[in-house]
Amino acid sequence: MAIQPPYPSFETPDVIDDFFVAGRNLWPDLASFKNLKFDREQVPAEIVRFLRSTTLNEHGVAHYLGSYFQNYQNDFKLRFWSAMWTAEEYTHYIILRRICQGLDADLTEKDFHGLEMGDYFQNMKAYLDRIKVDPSIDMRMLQLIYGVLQEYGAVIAYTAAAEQCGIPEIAAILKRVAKDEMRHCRFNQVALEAMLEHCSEGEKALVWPQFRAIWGDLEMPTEHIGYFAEIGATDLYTSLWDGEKKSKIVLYLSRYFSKYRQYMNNSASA
Amino acid sequence: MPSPSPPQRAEIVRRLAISLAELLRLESPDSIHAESDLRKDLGVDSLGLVDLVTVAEEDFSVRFSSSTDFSVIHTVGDVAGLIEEQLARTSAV
Repeated sequence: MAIQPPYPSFETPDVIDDFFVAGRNLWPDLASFKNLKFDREQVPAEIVRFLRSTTLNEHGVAHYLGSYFQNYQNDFKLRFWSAMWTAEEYTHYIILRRICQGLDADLTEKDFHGLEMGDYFQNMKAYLDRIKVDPSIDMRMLQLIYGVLQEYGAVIAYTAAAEQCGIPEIAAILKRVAKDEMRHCRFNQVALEAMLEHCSEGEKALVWPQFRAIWGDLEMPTEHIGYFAEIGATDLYTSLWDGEKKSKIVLYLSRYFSKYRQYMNNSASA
Repeated sequence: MPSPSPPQRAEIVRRLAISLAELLRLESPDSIHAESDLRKDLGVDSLGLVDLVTVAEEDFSVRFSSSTDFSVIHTVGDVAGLIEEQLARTSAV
């Protein structure tokens, strides 16, 4: 039986259209990354490990898209967005792989095979089922809230890697990737806000506790694919969140989601 | 009419203690002092930090600086100091 969301995320496809158009112009120099060459000695070993694992992570979009499609149900506009997001993350994979190749640290067939063998869909489903604050929560809402955290986490990880990588040319590329991830973070917010316009007060009251539940038990995508644990790369992403960076995340997310506390308070006092 | 002067450190600690007691579901704020360690004494973890930031910014109408590093903030008094700093900046504007 088809699952029918009770209301659409966006009234019109305009936001999706704008996202698509802006996305066409982000990497006009993509082809020029083909022959990058860097001195690996200048890049800390942990950053090389991060670059390799995050390249693989960006290549994992085929896993992630399946989960997005499931959670966005038959919301046509959010499905379009996921397809566009997938293409942008795949672009990141290509760029990051070019950097890895330039550092003589290319991915191997074993890496790709290990990634493809992952059971992300089931693991992510189990994770989301575990952290749901209400069994009836709209899965689109849950995915969008998670998306804000995941994408902002990526912004911070790429920013930190840019600061630590030791080669200005790589740093400049990583900062551009971080900017794209911020755009993805923002889209999740815009979609959440558009969706909430149609939600009941009771549904709106779930946003703040759901954000807290995810933040309190945050698992990034790499934790749901076994191969990342096999190569010791599960925590590479979050290991770049030092005290200052984690504080940035706390401040940003608290400020964004705190506006939804009022719905929870209203619901409690009703 | 002159604007009210910002609360002093002791008053900030007192108000923070009330908010923290509520957040942590303590019966009374009396056991929370300026020297109380957020993590060791009060069990404020990364989730608790989100609540603390939210409540502190709302209750005192301040915005912590984006360069704030909460990993070096250990006690309730440290948080009060940050709030005091922000309040002073706001009133100086």
